Amino acid sequence: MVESAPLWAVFVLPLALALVASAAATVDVRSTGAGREVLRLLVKQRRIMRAADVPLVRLGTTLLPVAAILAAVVLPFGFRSVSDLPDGIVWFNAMEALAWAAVWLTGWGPNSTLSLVGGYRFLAQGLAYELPHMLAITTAALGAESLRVGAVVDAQAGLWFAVWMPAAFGIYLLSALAMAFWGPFDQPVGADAAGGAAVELSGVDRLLFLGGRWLLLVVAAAFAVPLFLGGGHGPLLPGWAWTALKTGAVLGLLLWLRRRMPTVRMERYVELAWVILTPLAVAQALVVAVVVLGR
Amino acid sequence: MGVVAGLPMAERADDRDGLRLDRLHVPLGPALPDWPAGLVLHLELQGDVVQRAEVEAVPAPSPSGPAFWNEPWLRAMAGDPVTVGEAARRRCAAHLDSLGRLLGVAGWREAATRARVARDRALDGAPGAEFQSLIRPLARRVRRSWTLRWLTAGVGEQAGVQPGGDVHGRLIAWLDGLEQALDHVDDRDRLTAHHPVGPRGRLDTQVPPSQALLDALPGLLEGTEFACARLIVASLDPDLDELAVQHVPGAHGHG
Repeated sequence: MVESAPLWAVFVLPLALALVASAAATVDVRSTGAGREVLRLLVKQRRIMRAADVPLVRLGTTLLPVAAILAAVVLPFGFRSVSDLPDGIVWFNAMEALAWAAVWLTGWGPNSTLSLVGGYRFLAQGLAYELPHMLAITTAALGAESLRVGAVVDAQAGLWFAVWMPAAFGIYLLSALAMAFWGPFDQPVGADAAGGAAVELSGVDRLLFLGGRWLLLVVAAAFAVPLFLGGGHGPLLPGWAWTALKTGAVLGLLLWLRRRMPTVRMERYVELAWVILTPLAVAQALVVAVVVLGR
Repeated sequence: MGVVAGLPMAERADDRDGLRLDRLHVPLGPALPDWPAGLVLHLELQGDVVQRAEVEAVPAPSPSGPAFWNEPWLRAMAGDPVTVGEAARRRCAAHLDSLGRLLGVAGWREAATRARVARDRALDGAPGAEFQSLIRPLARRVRRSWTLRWLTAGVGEQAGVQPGGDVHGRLIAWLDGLEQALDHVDDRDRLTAHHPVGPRGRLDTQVPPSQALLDALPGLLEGTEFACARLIVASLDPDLDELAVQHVPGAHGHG
């Protein structure tokens, strides 16, 4: 059973996430560390477009890291999470959908065409990935017969969900990239639109937005562990070590994927998502439902 | 047209789905990441769909020499001694340069970087064997990438150019040209000036090959989504130096 962590965990959580995110960013960039870039952005002056809607931009850029941290509240580290809500999976999904608003506001606010294009792109991306994604996380909840993340972890004491729900696991990994609009799903901030939604951001705004994206990626990758990879369950090592190992492995896989693939355009992915992935996710949910009914 | 904060408002016009949507006038270029330098496209966008595109080439300041990517062939036409290997090397570098830009626009940063490293090595005069070992694995990986094929096949299809007159087809054509030229980089024979073919086409005609690429652009861009439009521009990759260089003495040496 997942227990609630002591109160200080509330303050440690954002720090721990930021540490993992900056470590992942450093591994990904290799040559220049994330630290230098953070310092550079902190001292850089913010510039703003003419007739921009400044409150919207500020709201959008701040919302992104906030959404990532709020989503992480239900994330168990070993067998402890900051709060094991009774409907934690719904909470995670809702917080992750906040990112839609964040990117859209950031794209709309600066009064710039290319950032607007980036904002539009993320809405299209959301429509493409969200449907199979929700079916995939619902499948995990179905397998555990509970929306509580702790219960999902407990249900995998014997067998990981990734083993008997491979389709849902695969779809979750794809949507983890898509929700953090990162790697092959970076079209909303694509280089072809000169940086898309982030094109007009500078200084602290840029740091919050791009840093928030890394946080979101880490949270999305880490959430695959309690959902499909058995959370803290594993032989010999303590629960927290297993969580850390598995999260590292998922993050590593996502970093590798980005090197192997070009950016996926959403008008192509929508077709794949709706014609193949959604029926596949429904079929997977059906299999799991039959198994659950039968036991 | 209304003006807000000194900026013109977007006017509304019919779109392809029978709606009336804001029509934004957006210039692209002359400088953008992974963009043919000097090219300006005046786009009318609705959402991120290109409704109309107009091409304008910013005239290059009086060039100091022949167009860089065509230089070996132009010099051979002017009667200078140029080896086949030198021309092959330049062709490799030109295709790698285009490839780097297209892969960059397609969002495959790692492969784009590899293409650029190989291009620089080719121009540095690295031994043939060395940059062959850089290029062959890259070409194989790009050819075999089914995601790249899935994302570029059918985009920017040119009527009448069959088969493979789309972005992916043009990409494969570069790879073919690249690998053919690769076999000749150490060839010491003299380049003949008959029917010179540069990286972008025949050089002994009145109209430079890039002009045909520019002429094809508006028709291919209309009705495409923004990212596809960027891919189409990158896959044609017109070289605006070719347009300016017509008046350079030496390029006219051959009748």
